Amino acid sequence: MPSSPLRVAVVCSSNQNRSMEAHNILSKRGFSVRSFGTGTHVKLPGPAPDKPNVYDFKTTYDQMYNDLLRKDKELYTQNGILHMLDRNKRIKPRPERFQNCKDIFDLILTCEERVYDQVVEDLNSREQETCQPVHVINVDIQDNHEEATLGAFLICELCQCIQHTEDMENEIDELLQEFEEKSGRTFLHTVCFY
Amino acid sequence: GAYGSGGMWTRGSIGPWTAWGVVDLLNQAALISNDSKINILKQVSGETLGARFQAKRFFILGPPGALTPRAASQWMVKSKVISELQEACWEMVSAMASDIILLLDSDNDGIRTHAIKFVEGLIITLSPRMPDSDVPKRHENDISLERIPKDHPYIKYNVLWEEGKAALEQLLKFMVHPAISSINLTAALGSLATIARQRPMFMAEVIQAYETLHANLPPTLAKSQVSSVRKNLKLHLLSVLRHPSSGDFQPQITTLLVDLGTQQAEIARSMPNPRDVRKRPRDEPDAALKKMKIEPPLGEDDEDKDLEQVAVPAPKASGQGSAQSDTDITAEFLQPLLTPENVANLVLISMVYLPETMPASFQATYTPVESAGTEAQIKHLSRLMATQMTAAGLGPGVEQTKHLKEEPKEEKTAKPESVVIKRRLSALSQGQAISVLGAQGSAANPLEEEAPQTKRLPRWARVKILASLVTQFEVPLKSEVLAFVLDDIRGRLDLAFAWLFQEYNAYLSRYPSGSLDHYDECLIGLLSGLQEKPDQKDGIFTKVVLEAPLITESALEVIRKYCEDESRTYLGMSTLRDLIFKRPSRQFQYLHVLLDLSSHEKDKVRQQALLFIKRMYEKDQLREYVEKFALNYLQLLVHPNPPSVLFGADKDTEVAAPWTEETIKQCLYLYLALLPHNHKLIHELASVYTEAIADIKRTVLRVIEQPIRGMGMNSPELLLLVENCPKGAETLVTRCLHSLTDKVPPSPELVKRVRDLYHKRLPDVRFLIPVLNGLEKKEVIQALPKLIKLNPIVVKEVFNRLLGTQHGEGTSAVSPLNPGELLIALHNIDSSKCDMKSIIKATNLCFAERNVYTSEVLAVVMQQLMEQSPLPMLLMRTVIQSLTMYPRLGGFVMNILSRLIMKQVWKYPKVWEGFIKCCQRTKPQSFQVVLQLPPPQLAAVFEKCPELREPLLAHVRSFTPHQQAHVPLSTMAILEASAKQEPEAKD
Repeated sequence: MPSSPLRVAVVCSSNQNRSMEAHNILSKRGFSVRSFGTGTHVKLPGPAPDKPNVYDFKTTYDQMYNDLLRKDKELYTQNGILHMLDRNKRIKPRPERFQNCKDIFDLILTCEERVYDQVVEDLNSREQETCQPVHVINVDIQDNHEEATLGAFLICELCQCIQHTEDMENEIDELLQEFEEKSGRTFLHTVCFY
Repeated sequence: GAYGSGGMWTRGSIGPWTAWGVVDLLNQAALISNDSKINILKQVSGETLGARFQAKRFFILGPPGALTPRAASQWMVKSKVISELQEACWEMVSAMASDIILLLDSDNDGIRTHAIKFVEGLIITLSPRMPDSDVPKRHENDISLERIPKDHPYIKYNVLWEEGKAALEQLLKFMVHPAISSINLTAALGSLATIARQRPMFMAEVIQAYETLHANLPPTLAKSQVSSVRKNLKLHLLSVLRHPSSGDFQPQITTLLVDLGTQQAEIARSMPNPRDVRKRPRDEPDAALKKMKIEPPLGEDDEDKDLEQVAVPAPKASGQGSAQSDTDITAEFLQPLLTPENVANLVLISMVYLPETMPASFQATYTPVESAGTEAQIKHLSRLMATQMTAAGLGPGVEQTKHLKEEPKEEKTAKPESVVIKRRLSALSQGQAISVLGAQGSAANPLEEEAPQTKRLPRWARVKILASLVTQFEVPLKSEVLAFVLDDIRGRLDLAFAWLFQEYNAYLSRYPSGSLDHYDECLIGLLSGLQEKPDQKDGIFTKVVLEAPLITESALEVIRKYCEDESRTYLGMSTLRDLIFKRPSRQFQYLHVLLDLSSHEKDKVRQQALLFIKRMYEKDQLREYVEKFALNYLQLLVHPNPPSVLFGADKDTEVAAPWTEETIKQCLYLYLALLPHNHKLIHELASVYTEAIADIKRTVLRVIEQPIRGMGMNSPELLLLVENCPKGAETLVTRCLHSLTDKVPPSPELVKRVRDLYHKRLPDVRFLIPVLNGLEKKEVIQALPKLIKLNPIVVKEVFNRLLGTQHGEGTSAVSPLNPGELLIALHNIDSSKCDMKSIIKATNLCFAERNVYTSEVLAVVMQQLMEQSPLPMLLMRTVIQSLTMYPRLGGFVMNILSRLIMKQVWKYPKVWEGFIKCCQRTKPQSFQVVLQLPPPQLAAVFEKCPELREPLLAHVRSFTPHQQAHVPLSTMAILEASAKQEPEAKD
């Protein structure tokens, strides 16, 4: 067991549901974890599909919580949004945008293909400094509470497997193949360099 | 090498620190004085080239890439005078670099990844930065080749430049390894993009490597890895496209991007700003030519209006000669050759190399080619093929480069020359071959998938080409094709036939020395395959059989098996039938199979075969063969044991096996089926019958009934048989007669034959039984003594026939004797011809038929018998019997008795005996009759039955005096003779 825990980032679109659920579980399991969104804005479901609640990344979870509480307490209680925001604000103050974070990670997990593309594109557009590798892995998770929970456990299991490797760089390719077989899912995977 | 586990490094938690430590060391080396430098460098090399690979990786990990050579160069460049020490350092650093390049072959995936990054840095350092090079801000001051003075005392610019190019070649070679890991490939793709952007002079090589990779994704990649790699490729292509120097390569890049599923709009967005392009100092005088507007590469989309506005430089003009890569040259050569016909042929030819299973890479990358047949697509295809050919070392491009290489080398050092990626032919696996075809959109299902806009060879032509190719294959490939055909036999029937005929042609072309083996295998494969298919109502099996140029022995065997399958018997046999009629030259061979099946153990198979054969039998040309076959089988019955032919070839014949019902029937099925159609055959059976053992005879008698009945009693042949009745065949003839007359009265013709037979040749009364009802009355009466002497069962049958009591259908048979006549005839049988016992039994049979022998009938019989003279012996027996059956006949009987007295019945001892018995039984009714007897006879009666006298006397005394006067005195005397004492006693 290596002495240092993996530095993990979990990224979804709005840094609300999927990435935060995984963030929650991974930090409880002792990983050094950060979570991000790649969208230009933070979007939460609104009263109708075409009327989402849109915030910028500066807005705190608490502010969103109070905003929605004021707008329609019943609706947002019933669809679980308030509960989610309440959970989120206990983890960190506000959503973070991946593109604005220059910290270094060993492993970045994305929650959908579009997010994966954005993360990889962003990493590739950065100027290389250290040649330190970072593995980006996409695990498709539907954006609802149940799938987020299931996805978070899957991500957690994956991280634990990687954490337990003797030599992550050498074994990750094979490990992912095994994990694909085991979970019946497919994962996009690439290596980028800082 | 004092480092922890690999994990530690790869985590990067310590890596950067140490890496920066090395950088520091090297940077110091660039600054500090000579003496300490060598030590520091030794320290670095000690760390980097230490025994443990982790240490090596750590070194590679250094920022960004080849820091050692870079730092070393920097240091060396600064020095005006090169000391031995510096030389030593340089050597050491160079050795480290080549050592790390070797790590591209490491066993450890992670180390290879880092080696790739190192080589990337090495290439950048060992190549000159150009005005159009991307320069990362952070590395603005990094050293690279252009900073090396060409007159440097120690470092040779050209040598380093060659080393840089060699490093690129290494990297490219590494990339085309067919078993490259997904992660290495990802890393290499990124490195190539960096190289292309920072060193645009390598853009051609990079694009070509991308093209090669796209067309040849390693077959070892899993599906998700293929997706990941394609995403990467797309990303890097877009980043290369954004580079201002991408102009020359935009058509290739665009095509690749479209293939990778990139939207036109996205491609347009990534096009470099035209003004930037124009600003490029590298632009040559023919820039005007390059700005010529060409149609957008795959532009049929209306969406890319903006794309059309972009002035896209034309691809390299052909005049540029040496600047063209091998691929370019070969592609230009190929493009006009790619007519739809040629392409279709290529596809067909390539089918030979399709792998067993679809590689994941192909499955993932396959998209139908929407623009098939368009100029742009043909261009793309030609490039794809050129890439492949170049990789395989083929094509005009490669040829030309070979020539160039033979020229003096001096000039080339300045001008970057395209690197030929040589890939051994063996590396061009089937999986890769399929990718080429995949781009054509037709590899997976070469015959079915029609790209909508493609104009192709007509299907028949493609089928023909493929078929002729298939004949060249070895067995495993042929089975692939066979499986393919069988997979959708309906849709691929044309291919099946084309192949079959091709095999046949191949055989003919070698005739007479050639063998039919290949043709046979093909036909058997198809037929057996079809046979295994669950549902075959569509008649494809029949179609294949009927259209095959030749039916081989083994194919016939498959057909036979098909027929033996109960669910397909009909289909199989109709196929045989068609073969028989449509292939006259071998019709007997096919007929033979059908005939064989006519004795099959399965009922359904046999019945069906017999049905078909009966129809064949009506055809003149087949008749004789069928008949001979049937008779041959029939003839087997003369053997004491069943011959081996009756047992399947697979069953071991026991010589001593006895005939069984089954084997006997086997010999008869076909014969019996034909018999109703050709009555003449009956004589054959008769002659076999005479020689056969008892078991066979029994079976024959059992099975013959139905066919004989079918023939009918008017059959001349049957009549002839009766007439001739071969010796030993009597039972057979009898059986025939019985069968014929069981339900129908015999015809006069039949009766005549039987009569003739009976009278002239074989006086066995049993022959007559079936035709009894056809005989004259006197004939029957004549035969009766013999008939009633037969065994009781037969006698019973005789009586049934005569009395019309058989099977309740007696009405149709009109007996020559009515029941009364019969009974009378029995009474009149000459006792010298027949024993009384038999006659009595026979009359008993009559009395048993109470329904026939009613009281009226019996009365008539008694009347007639009584009138006969002499009186029949059994008369009184019959009278008593009748009276017992019908007591109300009492009065009639009394009348008979009286009449008998007049006929002096006492002259016939037996009848007289019966007379007395009858009187005794019928007292007191009979007293009247007894009194009529003359005194001597009355005395005889009393002698026999003394107990009669008293009642009779009492009877007379009860008369009135007038009545008593009529009793003769002599009679009274006898009555009273012994009663004399009585009156005394009374007195």
